[in-house]
Amino acid sequence: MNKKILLSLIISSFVVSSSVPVSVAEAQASAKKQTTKKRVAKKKPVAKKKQTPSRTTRKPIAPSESVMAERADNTELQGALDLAKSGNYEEASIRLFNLSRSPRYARERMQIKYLLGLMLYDMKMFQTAAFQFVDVVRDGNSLYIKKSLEKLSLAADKLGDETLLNYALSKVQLEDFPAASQDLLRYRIGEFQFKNGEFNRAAANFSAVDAGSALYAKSKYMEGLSFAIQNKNDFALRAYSDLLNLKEKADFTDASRVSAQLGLARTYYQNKEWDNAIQYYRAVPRDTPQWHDALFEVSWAQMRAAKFRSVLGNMHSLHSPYYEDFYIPESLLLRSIVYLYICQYDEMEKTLDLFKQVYLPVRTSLRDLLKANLTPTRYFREMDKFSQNYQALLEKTADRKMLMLPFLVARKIFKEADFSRGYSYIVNLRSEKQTMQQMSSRWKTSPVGQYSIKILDRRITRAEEASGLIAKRHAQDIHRDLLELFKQHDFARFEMSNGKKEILKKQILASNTSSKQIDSDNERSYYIQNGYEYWPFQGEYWLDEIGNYYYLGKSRCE
Amino acid sequence: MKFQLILLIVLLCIGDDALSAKIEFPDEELASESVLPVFDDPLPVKNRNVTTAKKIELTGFLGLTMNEPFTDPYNFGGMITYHFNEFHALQFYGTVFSATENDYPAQINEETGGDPGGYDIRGKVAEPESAMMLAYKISPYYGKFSLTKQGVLNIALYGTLGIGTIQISGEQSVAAALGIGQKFYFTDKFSLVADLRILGFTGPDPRGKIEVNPDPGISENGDRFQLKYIFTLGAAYIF
Repeated sequence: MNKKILLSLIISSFVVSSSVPVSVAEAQASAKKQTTKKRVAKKKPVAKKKQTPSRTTRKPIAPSESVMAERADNTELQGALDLAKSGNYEEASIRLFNLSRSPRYARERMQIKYLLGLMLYDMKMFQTAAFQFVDVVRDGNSLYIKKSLEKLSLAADKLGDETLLNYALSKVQLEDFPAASQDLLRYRIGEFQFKNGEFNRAAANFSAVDAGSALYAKSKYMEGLSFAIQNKNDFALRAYSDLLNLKEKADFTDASRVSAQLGLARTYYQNKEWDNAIQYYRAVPRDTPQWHDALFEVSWAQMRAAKFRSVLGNMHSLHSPYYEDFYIPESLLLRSIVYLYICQYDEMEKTLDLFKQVYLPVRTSLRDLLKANLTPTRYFREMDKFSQNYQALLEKTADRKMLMLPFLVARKIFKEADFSRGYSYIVNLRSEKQTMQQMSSRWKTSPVGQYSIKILDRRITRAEEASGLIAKRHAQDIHRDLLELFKQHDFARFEMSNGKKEILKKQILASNTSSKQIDSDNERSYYIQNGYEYWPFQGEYWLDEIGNYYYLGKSRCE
Repeated sequence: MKFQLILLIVLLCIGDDALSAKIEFPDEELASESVLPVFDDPLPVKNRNVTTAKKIELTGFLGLTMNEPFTDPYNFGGMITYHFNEFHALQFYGTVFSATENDYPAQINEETGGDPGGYDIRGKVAEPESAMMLAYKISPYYGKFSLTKQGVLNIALYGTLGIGTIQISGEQSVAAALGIGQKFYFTDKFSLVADLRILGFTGPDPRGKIEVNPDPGISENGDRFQLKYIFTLGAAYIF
């Protein structure tokens, strides 16, 4: 149904309900003017008021001055509602906001706020609308609580505002929600519980999402993840398999299908079923963003399955210039470990040198940054600068000096789910502010306009602080990880030196025997079976070759 | 001699076998997708072997004017190209044509010269002498191919659009040229170049200004629009 029609219906129902006489006395008074009222009944309703026992027992009297004044006020409300019905939300919102603050409408305040919220929601001012719904929910004393909660959840969902969402979830009862929105609520509750570490309860909520819901695929994935985190791998495999079966006929790059494949691969890896893990990792299509993770993760599985040649083939892709902006220090250490296994110490040294060359400046820069103890807002400003100039920074590496955070660290933080959620919330708030700035100057200078801009500015500041704090924490985590990885790097260097020493010893002992090793001759020829394309690597990296490199070296261990 | 040849072949075979190793990859690890990975900056190639940006390229060439009617088709010349980046460049192109009359005017005269309406253009044909062009060059395609599976040649396809002059029998005419070419890089600096350029200009009639024997005897030919297809093969060095 068209949103405007829906809103009109809601307003109409409000108008009808507010047309009920406020008291018996008023009913009798109004009966006198019935003929006149009939003509204008639809246009001149009176706000609904609760009947109090004292009023019902009151003797019929002529309308008092206060009743007369109230009627005059109701005209104001009616006028605002008429404006809303005619689609003039801008003017209606100004009037409704004023009425919602008027002591004369104390009894109708929550109804007015609910209506104002609906109007703002329709004007795509979700944050301001959400605040109206929050007020209604907090008040806790009106018929509009359930409806407000539902709308609040939807507005929070649109904004990606976790605080509001959590607030709504803490107040809501599933059965109070309309059936159509229950799956959304289950999913959101599941997410909330997942974040709070209540994985069992989260899995239960995710699994309760109806198979016909648009959120079913996401829920299945999250269900699998909730089980996998608890090491309930069989349940996780079942959930992921269900999802994969569901998406059997979907497009190869369908996000849910790929997530299911990745979920299965990770769970099999967790189960130490290397071959199954490799099979599912390799099923992740190359033209999806998840493929990069799959390429790195499959290398671990291949390493555990002793497929060193395959690992090194992958590493050649991962350490190509295409990945120079990716934060993947672990992959360099993994590569060096494989070289250690096959006694390729020269290659190992090159790899460890590369690790040091790339990540030592990152570590130093992070250390200096963390020592400076900047405020979360400064971190956010950095991340914002990164986001605003991302394309330019990609193309002109020299410009990256404008960032205090190393580019690849900023990129990693930006891709972290919590930061990206927070940032997208801020982007939504900014867009809402832009919507407000495009409103008429009358609206902007009106109390509702000033109120909306004020709360939006406050929300933006708070959200920036929160996101900045997340960014700072990630920077601290990355710095800590790097310290740990550098310890591993030093250990690998020690092992490499040992290995080299052993080889020298053997060479000295067997100095009289000359055994030519296959790898000692770099000029050897390669043959390739007919039907296969083969390109010897000559220094340049082609996009269509990424992921298709094969290592042809041999183990030099004796 | 025969024995030596057999010995050489045997030695070659033994040598290769000794140095080669049989490495097999499981089928499931071989490429099975033709789609490309997703990157924020999806350049088709990184770390190019051949880079041309901000570099000067010198080319020398020999060629044929494929539709030259009355003079020898040979030409030679050179190009100096400045590459602004990997795609765009400015090029100076100069060529000298062989101005020697070929056998056709004589053949025509032999066959028709004595008859009324026959031609005698011997010694009178317009002789193209040289052409100079300033051209914009775009290199939209950089790739590679392997002939022997032992090594890889980088290639670049380019197009040119130029304007300049052509001198024919001492007379200069304005000419425009459209061209296409292919470079085969044998190293990151040295390449072979195949270039086809179509020159369009309005200039002296190839038969020359004056014809003898078009009935009733002598007539004058005016300038006319012509196209010259110039195909050249050259060598280029970039620095």
